[in-house]
Amino acid sequence: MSRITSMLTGLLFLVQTGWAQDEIEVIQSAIFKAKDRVMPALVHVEPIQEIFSQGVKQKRQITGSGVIFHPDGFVITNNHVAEKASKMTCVLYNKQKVEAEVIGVDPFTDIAVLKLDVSQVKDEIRWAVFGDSEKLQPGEIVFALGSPLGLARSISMGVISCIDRYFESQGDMVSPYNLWLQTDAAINPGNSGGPLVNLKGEVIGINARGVMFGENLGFAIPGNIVSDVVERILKDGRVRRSWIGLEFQSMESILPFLDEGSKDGVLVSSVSEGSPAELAGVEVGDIVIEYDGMPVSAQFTEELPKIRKKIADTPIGREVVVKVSRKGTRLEFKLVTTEKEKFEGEDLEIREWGITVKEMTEREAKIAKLDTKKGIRVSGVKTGSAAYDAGVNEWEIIRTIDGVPVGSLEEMKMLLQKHREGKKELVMLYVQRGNMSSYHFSLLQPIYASSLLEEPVDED
Amino acid sequence: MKTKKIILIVVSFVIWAAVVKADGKKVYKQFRAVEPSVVLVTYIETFNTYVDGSTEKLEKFAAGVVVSAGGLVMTHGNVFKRDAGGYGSLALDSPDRFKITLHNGKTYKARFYGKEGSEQLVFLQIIPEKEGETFAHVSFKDRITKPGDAVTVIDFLPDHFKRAASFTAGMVTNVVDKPFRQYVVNISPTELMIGNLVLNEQGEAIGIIGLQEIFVFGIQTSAYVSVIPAKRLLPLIEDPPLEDGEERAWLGMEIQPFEEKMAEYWNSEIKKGVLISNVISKSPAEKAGLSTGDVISEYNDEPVFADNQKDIESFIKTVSAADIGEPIRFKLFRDGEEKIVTVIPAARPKSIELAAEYRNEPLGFVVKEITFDISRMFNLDDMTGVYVFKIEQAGPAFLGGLKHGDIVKRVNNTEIMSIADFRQIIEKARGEHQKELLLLVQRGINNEFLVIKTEWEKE
Repeated sequence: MSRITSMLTGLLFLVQTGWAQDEIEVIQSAIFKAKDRVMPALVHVEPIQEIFSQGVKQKRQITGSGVIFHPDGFVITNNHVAEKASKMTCVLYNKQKVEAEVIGVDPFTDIAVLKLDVSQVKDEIRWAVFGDSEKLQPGEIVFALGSPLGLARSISMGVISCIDRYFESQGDMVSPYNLWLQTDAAINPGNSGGPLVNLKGEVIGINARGVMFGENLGFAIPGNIVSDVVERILKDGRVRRSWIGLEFQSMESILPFLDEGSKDGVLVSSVSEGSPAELAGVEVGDIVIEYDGMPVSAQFTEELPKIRKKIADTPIGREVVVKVSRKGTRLEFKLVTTEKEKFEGEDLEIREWGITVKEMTEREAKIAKLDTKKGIRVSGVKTGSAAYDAGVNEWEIIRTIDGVPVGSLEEMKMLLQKHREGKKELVMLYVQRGNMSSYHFSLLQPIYASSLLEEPVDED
Repeated sequence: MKTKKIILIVVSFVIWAAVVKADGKKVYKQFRAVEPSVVLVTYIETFNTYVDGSTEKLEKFAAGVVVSAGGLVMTHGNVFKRDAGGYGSLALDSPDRFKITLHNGKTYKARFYGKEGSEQLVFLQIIPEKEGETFAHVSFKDRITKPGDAVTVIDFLPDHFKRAASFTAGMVTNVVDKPFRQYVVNISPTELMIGNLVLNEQGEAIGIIGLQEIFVFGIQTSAYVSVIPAKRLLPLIEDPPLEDGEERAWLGMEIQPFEEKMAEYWNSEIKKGVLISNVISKSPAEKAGLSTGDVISEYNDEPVFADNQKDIESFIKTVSAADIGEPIRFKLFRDGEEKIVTVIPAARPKSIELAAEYRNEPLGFVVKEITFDISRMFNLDDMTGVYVFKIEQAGPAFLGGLKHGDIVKRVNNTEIMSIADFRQIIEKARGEHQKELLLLVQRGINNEFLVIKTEWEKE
């Protein structure tokens, strides 16, 4: 609000220096018009998340924002708001509480789609429309709508500060397929999932990130990326992507080592072991100039997401031709794309042991140098539990149980069921400690108390 | 009546105070008698910060006791950490590293003499200034000590009081026997108490202070003052451990305690032993046919077992001290069968501290050869490449994007097999005044190409 006040004060100052009263009214009415087009579609989101922490499954309530984009009550929010939600309550603009279900999530773009229980909605459903985010320019006036720090129905104003901000992946913070819209409109925790709106009242982005200790630095996922992901979630419930196993770098990063006139293409920095690209013969240091009949080029890092997206959007299982330049020679490789693995594995709580485990993705398994393709990682240990007494630690990777290798969570569940039925007294785990090549035996005595094994009933 | 009672109380107070005063005098006298043989040890500790690979040096202090007329000083194990495993603090030996200050303020240089097996005690040798110089020293007495016995602990005051020698009266509150005999004393630990002298009521030296630190999740939460008794000190003073400086033996396996419950789980005939939890590929242990899950019950016909981590440490020490190339006979159990396996220990692989280094000042980096511990730390596939150990802030390598912990795999499209390869390529580039270098580094699971813009003429 203070921003708007200062803006208006600024405008008043301009009046003295020659702005006419009617011009102010024009600006103010444009702001009202834009706000009125989106505000009724704004949603305050209150999910109950199931998190696996300290060795037990826990529940916590968080708040986020969302925007209705379809007359049937479909809502867009962030993946980090909707993921692992066991229950989802939305508060509409008229303060009415409505239950919602999660239709699908996409962690790679941080987008999720919810559907309101329309039978509960009293008033007519109002929805927002998308504008073309490709046409945005720095300096354009924008509004951020949402629930900063849980303060529902808030609006802040600013401009687009940058239209092509690039972020490298940092742990679970990934955005391989998109650049970011940067804005100085105030964005705080709780704004996540809310719309970034232009002066026409069109949604041009979904607010998703802020900067700790930074001021007036908010980041939104461009609307065009959002629309594409949402469409695919509505169709398949998730976004399926192709994978060939290449990591890229911009040409700019090795500029002095490029021949004059050969700055087109993109540099291959890593080739995953056993990937389609490796099997076809692509090597680190190759420069990819064509993918599936289309020229590819990234002089700067900002151009990388587009290339990654092009590959990801190839139909899974399609044979593609990759043309590369290797030390001045042109080479062609034929390869078949495979499906990109999911972002993260499933969680499981093992109450009789007092731990939670998480299925590792292939990527994590590779980091840990597992012989088998996949493994199961201890994600938490409850103090005083059987596993705690046996010296099991978080981040350990379970390699065998009673001498039998465990590859998947399904295998593990079956094994645990057998243990429960037979009330197995002693269980020997053989674990790898973190990513280091260090191993340990841990013998634990499960506690099969019925109170431990029963699922707690949800209190409503 | 009332007045009588008050007088009685006053009298008893006066008498009690007098007793304390008399005791204090006695204790002070005893303190003065041993003061000349109590010394302040100054040592330099080197910290590897590991954030950017740089090291920092810190001057530290410890208490010591002169135990021979020749100037042998016994002090706490902290002053010499032989092997910090590549992390945290290191206190490697170097000349000028130890200084000994006597009670009269006179300071001598000292050299490292040796460290006792449990690593709790270190011996230093004062370097005399003139020939035949002798030093006041303490003679320890092995006396029976029980809970309730009074003791006097010699101490140094903090920096603020110029680290002057002082003393504290206390009482033995418990005698513990595990992992070895110690007396617990009811006084609060101070910084310079460790390694200092403990006297009994008669003023006899009955031990030195060995702090018992309590750690919870790796964080020290409390500490108890305990006394290492003379019984353990006397044989060491008689025959002080001498640092041999020899390479240590290595088998290449990980071990852990073999718990009773494990014996039950595996239906094992033997109930005690040392469990092998991992055998490192191509190591002496693997060559000898040892495998994960084997339980060692005898070491050169002597029974061995490990109930806890302390036992594991002592087993490792035994192996480390074995002669390289001299076969070790293990009796072990595998799948219920008894087996005899002979392992020939090799020299322990070079660790990061001893790894060959290449420093390039103009480019602003230090790299190390890939040692066994580096390859395990980063879970590397092989030993090729070099490890980036230090990067100068805002130097050419830093500006090019090179980071601490990177493994350099290629330079100018040439694969780096060893640190010698790396040095040769860089020196060649320097000779040819190459303007840029192209590096391929491995960082985690991915690689990155980097360009370093050189500044050879920086100096």
